[in-house]
Amino acid sequence: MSAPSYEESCPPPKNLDREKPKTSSPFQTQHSALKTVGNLPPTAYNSASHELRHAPARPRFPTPPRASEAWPRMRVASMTVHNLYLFDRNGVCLHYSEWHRKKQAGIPKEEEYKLMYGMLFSIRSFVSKMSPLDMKDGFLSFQTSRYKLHYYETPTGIKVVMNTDLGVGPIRDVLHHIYSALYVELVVKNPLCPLGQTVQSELFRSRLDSYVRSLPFFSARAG
Amino acid sequence: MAIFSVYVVNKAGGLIYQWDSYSPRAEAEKTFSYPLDLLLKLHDERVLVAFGQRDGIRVGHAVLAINGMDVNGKYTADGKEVLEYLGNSANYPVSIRFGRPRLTSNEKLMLASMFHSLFAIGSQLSPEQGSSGIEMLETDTFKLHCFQTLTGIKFVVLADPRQAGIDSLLRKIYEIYSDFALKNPFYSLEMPIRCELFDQNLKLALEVAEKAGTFGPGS
Repeated sequence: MSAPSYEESCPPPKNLDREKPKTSSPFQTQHSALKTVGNLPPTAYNSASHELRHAPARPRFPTPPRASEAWPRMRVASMTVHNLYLFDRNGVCLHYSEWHRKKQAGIPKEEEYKLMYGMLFSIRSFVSKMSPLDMKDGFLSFQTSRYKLHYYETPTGIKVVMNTDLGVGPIRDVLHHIYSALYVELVVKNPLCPLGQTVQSELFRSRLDSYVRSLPFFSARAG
Repeated sequence: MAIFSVYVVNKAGGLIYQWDSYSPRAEAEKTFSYPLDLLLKLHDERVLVAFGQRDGIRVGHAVLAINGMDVNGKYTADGKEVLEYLGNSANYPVSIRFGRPRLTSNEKLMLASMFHSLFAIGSQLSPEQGSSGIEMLETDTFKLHCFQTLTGIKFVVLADPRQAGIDSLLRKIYEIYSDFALKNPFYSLEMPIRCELFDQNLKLALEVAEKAGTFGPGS
């Protein structure tokens, strides 16, 4: 269920030069931002005097806006997938694709793959030492203030790593599907795809891309 | 106990405080007859199970006690080598207790530094601008929460995955650190914390966190 955009649920009034009626709403201080936005339906104000017939109290919107944001840019929370890595047991990056990535690592791609693999290897060994009980699935995911990294490893050492937005919950089954229905079916079972190297298969690339785009938490808008 | 351990790491990556709860880790004690059907190997001054998972004994478990007496690394309580002792059929039947090995303080130091680096790499590999380091790391047996202060001190808490209220606990630990460690005139910055009041208050805060899960604004 997606919340309607602010403009749909409460179109702001057209002309706001006059004094606004004093209410305790926190939105009242943002007149200038509102001036740039669309029209009020004509019945709401008296066209002869260009005054609001009844000053409608602004409906209490669930989340108070940040002062620096103008209304039109208020966005509905969009979840998205940033990028995906696929590694084999020797650390070779079999595949990398990105969808919405705002910041590059600042190092060449080859080094970034090695750094990512090394980080995951260290996290796995860290987790196995730290764990107070015996582990079954091991390391699942980590999150920072801006992204969440999901991890899935098969018993053969194939690692599927996906970076998503913070709003995404556990997606172990998605990563498992990427391994079993895409990697195994299209790459392992393909006699012309040599294992242990970067996957060249265009079919794999396009199927993976369309699968990720079809995920419920993938938003096409770079939010 | 739902909160397993607390680590405090200074800005250079060194461990300055560590606390563990004393919950028993998974342990299994069984009586064996010669020959032993588990393969044992020596690793890092400990005798570990290399092969032969059964009855609660997993690969990676260490020999904790033989015949009720705790082993001392790779030597038994009497000073004999464990592997030699278990290789001798005359010593059977023998009762051995296996379990997850407890971390030595050296290992804790190394793990804290390792986490310090992983925290930084997590921020460097971010696909988004302005990311912090690893704030929460999830596994199937525990969740690790980390709070980095503006001065670079990291407070790391390992807890049960279902435990709530760890964020407020981390802020509370920061408060306790600034009240009882930083305001202590005999404490030097970035050094290991050896302040009794810090220990006491930390334990109180952990008890509150496990029971209630939240701290009031004035606590």
